[in-house]
Amino acid sequence: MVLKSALITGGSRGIGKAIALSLVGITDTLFINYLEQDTAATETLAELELKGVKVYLLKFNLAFSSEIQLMFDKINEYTEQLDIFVHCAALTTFKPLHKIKPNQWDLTMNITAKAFLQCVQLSTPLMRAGGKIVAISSTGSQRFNANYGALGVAKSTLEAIVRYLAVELAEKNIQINGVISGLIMGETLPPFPEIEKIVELTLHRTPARRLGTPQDVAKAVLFLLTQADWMYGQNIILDGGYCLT
Amino acid sequence: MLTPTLIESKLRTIIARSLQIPEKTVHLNSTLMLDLEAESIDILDIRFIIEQTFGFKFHINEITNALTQAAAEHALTMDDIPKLFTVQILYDHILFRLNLKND
Repeated sequence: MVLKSALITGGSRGIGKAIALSLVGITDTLFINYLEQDTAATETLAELELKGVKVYLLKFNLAFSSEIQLMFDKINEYTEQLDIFVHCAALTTFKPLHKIKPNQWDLTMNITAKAFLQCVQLSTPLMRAGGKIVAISSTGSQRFNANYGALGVAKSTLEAIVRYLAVELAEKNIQINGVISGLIMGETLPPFPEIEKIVELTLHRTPARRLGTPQDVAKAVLFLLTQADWMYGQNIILDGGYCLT
Repeated sequence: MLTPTLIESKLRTIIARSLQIPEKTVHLNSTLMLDLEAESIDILDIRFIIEQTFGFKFHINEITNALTQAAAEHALTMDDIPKLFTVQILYDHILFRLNLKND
């Protein structure tokens, strides 16, 4: 198997880290973008390098186009080819949508959706031999979740970008899909108001009778990256059956 | 050239734009979370724009650690930290990072 290089945004912990670890054996070079968590990023780097992957940590703020450009300038210094891009980065505040302020809206949209588009635009010149791109969305894009409005709309936008780019970039042999994740347990559990109540209600309605794990999402991403050769522009739901009930 | 006066002016503009409030309501002694009603994501937004404007990065822990220390010195609890988090704290930190004044 030809080893590939990959970029993961929001890759220092949680779902992003699980995806990074799942790419061991698929990639020999990983670019991990993160915003804040230096310690987590360093630990992830150490863990991956022990497994033989060359890791570059990219601490850039995806809220700003100028920083995304700088991040890709750095990637271009290290490689001439990128094969995989996975967008996990997201940021928001949890409150009713009608109370979201303009700066809060902009920050949520910029990091969650706009950054994805710009990263794809800057990734594609490096995907000379084709590439695979996956965006991580969440079920709040599909239906109402209390206090999730801003991120729900941003994720919905992300999914629409996936569909459009999948068609536009198919001729370049670049395949784009998304994973819509339900509630994930562990460190990635959002700092929601009344999160314990939400977890209880979610578990009650989930046929699988458990929340997801970062590894559940990573497995689906790995499937999209390595197996789903005929899948284009799909956002697949991964929620233990919650959306069916 | 950046002077303390210019930095204060830029900081007040950043905060006013982020919070969508009139600049004249932003003073060095205004508390961000109580007087100006900034939420945690607003603090993040303000921090990001400070970083872009002044060309350095900082972790919010650099601010909160100082606030925690100040709270302890004044025998205050963690709940009192919003009372201590003023525009002045950010202003002083910017001056410190730009080597214009000791923090």
